[in-house]
Amino acid sequence: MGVIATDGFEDWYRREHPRLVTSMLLVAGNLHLAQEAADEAFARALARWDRVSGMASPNGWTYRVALNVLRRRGRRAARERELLARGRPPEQVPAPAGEAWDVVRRLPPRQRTAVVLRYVADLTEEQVGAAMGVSRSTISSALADARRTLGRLLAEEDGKLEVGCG
Amino acid sequence: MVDLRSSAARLIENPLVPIPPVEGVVARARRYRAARLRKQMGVCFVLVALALTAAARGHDALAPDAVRVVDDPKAREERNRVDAEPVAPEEPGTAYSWIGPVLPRVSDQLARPGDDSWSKLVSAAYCPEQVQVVRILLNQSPSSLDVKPAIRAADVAKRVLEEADKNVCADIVPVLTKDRTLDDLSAYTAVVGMPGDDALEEAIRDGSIARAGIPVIGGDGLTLTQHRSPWVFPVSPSAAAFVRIAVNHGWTMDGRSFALVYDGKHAWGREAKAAFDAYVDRIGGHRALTLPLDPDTLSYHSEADHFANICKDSLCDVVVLAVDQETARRWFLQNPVPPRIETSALPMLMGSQFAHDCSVLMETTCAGLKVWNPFNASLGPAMPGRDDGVSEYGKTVLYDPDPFTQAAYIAADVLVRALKSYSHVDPETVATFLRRVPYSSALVPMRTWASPAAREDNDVARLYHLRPGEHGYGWSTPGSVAWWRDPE
Repeated sequence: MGVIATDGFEDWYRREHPRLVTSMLLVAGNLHLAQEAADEAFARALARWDRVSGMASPNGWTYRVALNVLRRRGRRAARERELLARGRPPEQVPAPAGEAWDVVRRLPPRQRTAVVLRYVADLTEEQVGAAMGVSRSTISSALADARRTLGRLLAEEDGKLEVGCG
Repeated sequence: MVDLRSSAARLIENPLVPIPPVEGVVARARRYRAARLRKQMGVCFVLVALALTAAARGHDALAPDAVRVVDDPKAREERNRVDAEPVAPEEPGTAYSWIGPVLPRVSDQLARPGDDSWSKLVSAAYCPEQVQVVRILLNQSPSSLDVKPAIRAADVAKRVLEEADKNVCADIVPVLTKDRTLDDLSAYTAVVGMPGDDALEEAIRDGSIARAGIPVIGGDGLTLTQHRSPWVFPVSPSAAAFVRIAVNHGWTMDGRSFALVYDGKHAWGREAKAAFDAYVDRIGGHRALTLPLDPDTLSYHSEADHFANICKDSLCDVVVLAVDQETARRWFLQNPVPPRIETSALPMLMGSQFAHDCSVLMETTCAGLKVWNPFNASLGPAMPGRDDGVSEYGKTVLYDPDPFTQAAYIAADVLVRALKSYSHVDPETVATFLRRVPYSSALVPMRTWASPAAREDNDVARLYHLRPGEHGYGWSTPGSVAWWRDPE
């Protein structure tokens, strides 16, 4: 089966694991799915580490894999929930993250994924596009739409709040 | 104000789940690899079975339709796509500060076609039965390119070739026309292409050059046609490559809004536009304006108005100019609104005459103009490369950083090296040599034509500024000079 190359992997893994799990949780709303997607993505990154480590953006590649896993397993989980006829509410994000994250999860899926990858995963717009399989200009538009939507949603909840993206 | 980034940072600092030990990841990675291997072996088994079956039926077992690609190349490419980050320049070369017209220009003694002097020059180029090369010269064509630089360039190429080897005779051919077909040129060994030669461009495009098997070195290299033909060896990058280099540079200067003013008539101008559109989109910039100029139009008043409407109040960060000198002169006479960061141009503008015209007629407008040059224009009194094997004539000519003349000199020098490598030369040997042996000198970083991928390594340029100096306006560099590569 060959030797698994690990040079530099562990440091990168420990650094990125919390961010990847958090990002997937905020995309999927389900902690177990988020963990599974992150674990699978890191395992695949390690299996191909000699190639992934040489990429300009190992993070971008890994997030793309995680999103794909999320998509496939999320569909199965949704079907299971339907069969149970009674869905569970999404995992609650801890209070320290602030009310804004409750609002972000109300965004349409595409906008939500773009916002999470951009502001939680800290990917560039190009990397976000690569992870989601769309062009950079599409991501720019999605983020602009998301910021407008967030502003409107927050204004509905509290007329004094504004949204900033740092 | 709610800050999403700060909210994200707080969430990450308090991990929702503990980080699993890396040994677990290693075990999972091994299982993943094993599963992939089983899948591939299964596929191989199926493919072998298919191949054996096909062989049994008498089909070619290696026929493409007997084997299916397992992985989707597009998906693989998507997975491995790198960021369109700005490309950092290579290590800067030796610092120098001034290049300008220090010595009298050689071109003053050359005449226009039709003049007696010109006739003498052409007739003097009659070649007896020796190793010969052919130069194809732009004649009085409808092209907007100033023919004088082309004449000077042709003369440079001729002298370089004949200085190098007594057996070489360089024949200046007025233009490749229907009256002088490629069959007539079968006695010639190679062609040193001249800038803006529309007839040569057509001969490359329609396959005539390839069918004749005559290598063409030089030319302006502006069109992609010249870069894709295995019989053409351009020494200068394409207009498309220059535009991408310019946009990339503007991006690193924090430019995000880009405008292109381009030659709408010629193929290289249209290719520049296509490259501009694609690359600005790719890096997520804003295409503020692409403005075609007709080189045959005498005034660009309405175009300048339109440009002002779009780019006023510093709305355009970077302007890229893909036009020749004459068009640029008429454009600058309209006093176009300046961009916020920079205007940079293709190398056609890097001439001493244009520098002079800018200073006299359009000083305010031209101030700060930058131009890209693929050659080391630094040959002057106290500059590097003086003693690096450049011929005396070459040094004289290159004090005037006219890119056409530089390109012609380099093309001729490339050919000289090919000719000197063999006791007997013919077009095939010259072409083989050029494809096998890279060229480099003090004038230009390495050029190689070994393969289409290798040719892309030739797409580098340096940035020069138009500045006032001791001898009037000229081209200078701000200290150390880096080579910028085509980011695509």
